[in-house]
Amino acid sequence: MKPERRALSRLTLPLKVLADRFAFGALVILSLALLAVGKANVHLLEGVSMRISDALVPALQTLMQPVTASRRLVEGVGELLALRAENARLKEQNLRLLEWQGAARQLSVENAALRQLLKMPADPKLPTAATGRIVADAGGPFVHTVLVDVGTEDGAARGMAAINERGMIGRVIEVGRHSARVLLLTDFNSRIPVLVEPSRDQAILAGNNTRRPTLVFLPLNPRLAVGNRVLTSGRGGVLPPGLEIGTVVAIDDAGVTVEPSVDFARLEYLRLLEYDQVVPPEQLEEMQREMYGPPLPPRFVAPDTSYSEPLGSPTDPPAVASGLTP
Amino acid sequence: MIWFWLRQLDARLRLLLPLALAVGAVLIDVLPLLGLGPWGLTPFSTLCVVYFWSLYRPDLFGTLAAFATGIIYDAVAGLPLGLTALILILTRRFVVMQRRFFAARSFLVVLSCFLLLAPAAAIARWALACVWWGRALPFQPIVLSLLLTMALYPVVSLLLARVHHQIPRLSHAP
Repeated sequence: MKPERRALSRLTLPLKVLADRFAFGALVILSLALLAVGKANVHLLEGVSMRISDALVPALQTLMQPVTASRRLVEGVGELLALRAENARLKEQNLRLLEWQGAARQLSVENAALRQLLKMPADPKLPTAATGRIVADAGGPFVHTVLVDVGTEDGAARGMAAINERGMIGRVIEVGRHSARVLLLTDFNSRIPVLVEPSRDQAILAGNNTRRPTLVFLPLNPRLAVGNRVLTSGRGGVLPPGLEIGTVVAIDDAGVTVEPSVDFARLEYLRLLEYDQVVPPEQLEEMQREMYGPPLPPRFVAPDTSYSEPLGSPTDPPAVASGLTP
Repeated sequence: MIWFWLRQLDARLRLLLPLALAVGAVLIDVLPLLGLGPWGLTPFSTLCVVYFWSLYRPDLFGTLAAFATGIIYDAVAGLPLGLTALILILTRRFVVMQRRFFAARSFLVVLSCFLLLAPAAAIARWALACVWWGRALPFQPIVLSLLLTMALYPVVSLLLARVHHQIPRLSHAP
């Protein structure tokens, strides 16, 4: 039996080597082809990526359990050690916040009164479409994205803003059935319209694959200062306005640098916001065409003669205006 | 009779271990362990696993397995499909070609070769990514990731060596 096997393997070995060489060439070409196709049309291979991600999300969720538990344990020990100092800091912060609470209440009443006076609609509510847990964060050194365990079946959709309690994290760029990929503010592909308070100068927050994104397309003579708050402006109608982004930390020759409010090293859960995007009229027409098909061609509709209005009816058109009477 | 079939099944499943462990390494690479993934502080342990199996069990970890591992990595990490896959199949090919050199060499030689190969793979991956995105990506995170990967190899190698002994050797292995 054994000599027979050896003889068989002696015969099949060159074939195996040949097949391996062929597979190598074919797979190198396939990899290059995939890269070229992905470059030509980014969304073409998106479905494949998200299907693979969907399939691996349960495994990632399971692997995350011990990671989360150990991270909480480490954080818990750290908090215990810093309890006294933390308590003093919180007491001081509480006093300051109470002062702010009074001011905020006063401003809120004043704001409501002014809105009523101007007949301005109230700020739209931003309901949460889904809350997801981050199960993967490695685009590694190349892209700054995270994978969350909610997809279309949970209400996630492309374009949604992702936030946590500190502010905006990024926005959804790919969505599968059970997973979604969020592009972080810091990724070099991220561009977000923002405004800087208190000057309300408009700009674009551009990611650069570092911890601190920069402001570009600033207006002429911008009135900026270190410490100014940066919020989403809502321009473009894609993201809701007023979401906290961060603080201006440096203004120099390299540009205006922003420190995001979100601590990207401690991301665990995030909320995806539902927001009715503002659609420009030309796109609206296109969307209607997609939904209801092409518009019907104009055609002559014969007047319905089976029903006659009673005489003297207020709906009778004036004879001169209609121009139909001889 | 049933024991015979169970043993057969067990032996077959053990043959799938190299691929399963490579996919496992992908999952560990993308897990937000320290929450520092975007800053490059993630090891590329998948490369360690691919290097190990290409060296010791290329019969069970073929070019297709390396390609599948790379595609899974690209899909989960949100990278362009084919980027990591290409690097991993080139790595496997290089290691398989140099197997005669590695035969019966000490662990130090194997480790030294990995320390040479890993930077080459990282630079090739970075260059390919730069070409794909059409801009120069920051290099510092690549260096951090590379150092972590190189530091991780002895540990990965030790763990995989234990698994290696549990896999039956095929009679027709090249």
